[in-house]
Amino acid sequence: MIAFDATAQATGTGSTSLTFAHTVTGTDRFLTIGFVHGNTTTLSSVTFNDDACSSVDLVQIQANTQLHMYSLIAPDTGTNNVVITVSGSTTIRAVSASYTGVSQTGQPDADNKVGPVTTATASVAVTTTVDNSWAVATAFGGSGINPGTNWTARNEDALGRTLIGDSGAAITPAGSYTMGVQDNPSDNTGIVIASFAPAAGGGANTTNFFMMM
Amino acid sequence: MKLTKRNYLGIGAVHVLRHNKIGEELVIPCTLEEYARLGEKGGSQFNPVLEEYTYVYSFAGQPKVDTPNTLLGENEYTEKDGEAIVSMQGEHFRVAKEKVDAEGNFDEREVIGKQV
Repeated sequence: MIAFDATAQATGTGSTSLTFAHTVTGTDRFLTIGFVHGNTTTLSSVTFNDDACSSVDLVQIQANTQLHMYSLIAPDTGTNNVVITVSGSTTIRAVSASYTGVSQTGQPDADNKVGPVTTATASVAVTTTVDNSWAVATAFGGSGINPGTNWTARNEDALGRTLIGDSGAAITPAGSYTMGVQDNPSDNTGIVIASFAPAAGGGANTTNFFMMM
Repeated sequence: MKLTKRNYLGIGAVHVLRHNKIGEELVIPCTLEEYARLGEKGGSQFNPVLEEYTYVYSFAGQPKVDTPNTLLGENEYTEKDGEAIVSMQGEHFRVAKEKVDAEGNFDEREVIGKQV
């Protein structure tokens, strides 16, 4: 069974690198990191305890801003540092969330994105592949955004512009799941969403199993 | 908007810690070498420790200026390589040096829609 573990957030103003501590515990661990940086810079690397994280997807929010989601399967336990490095000075706003009970291969198993959106709400769906999966999403809005549809808030940066949230519970049966935020329609907003499956024994596709019987 | 000029001293790095009771953030300047160690394997052992505070984050590569914590404060600017780096609305904006006049006057409309 998947469970939320911990979260962290940080902002580096006018910087080329941001480091923040995130404490991971438990077994079958999974770490997600959402962040934005100025588009005049190029993203160089994202690491957790010096282990490279993988890009899930990105949204070009506006001419000067990119929203990213990165992830890492089996992050080291304990308090370790997330490091985000870009090519030139910019503001980096980051949020992170970790989970336990997650399959340790091929995660996230699906993702989607939306943006830039200039309406009062923004939402996007991901299609989970097995029962008891969770969805996690990160979003950015230039003058601040708030949790919306199916968004269990986990954290936000100091100015409330970058959020991270999840489904807050297992999604069963597998299928389309939508998460969304409320934003200022005068701003461009973007969301990246991903789904991740439970570890073996934590979420077989029971729907299909019983259909087969 | 009137900006206060700060002198550019180079590239900076800082740690940020939060007071456990009142939540106040404390900024402590560090060297680029100290900052780089944080990202090494096991680098969290170098996260700063201070009684009554919890380490939160660090950042580097920003302009280092002649303020007590080395950071540009709100509505301050510094000059580097023909550009003015303006700190406002919690962000830094790079504009042509001429956009800030000799008295520090700056038209904030220059940065509308450029926030990250």
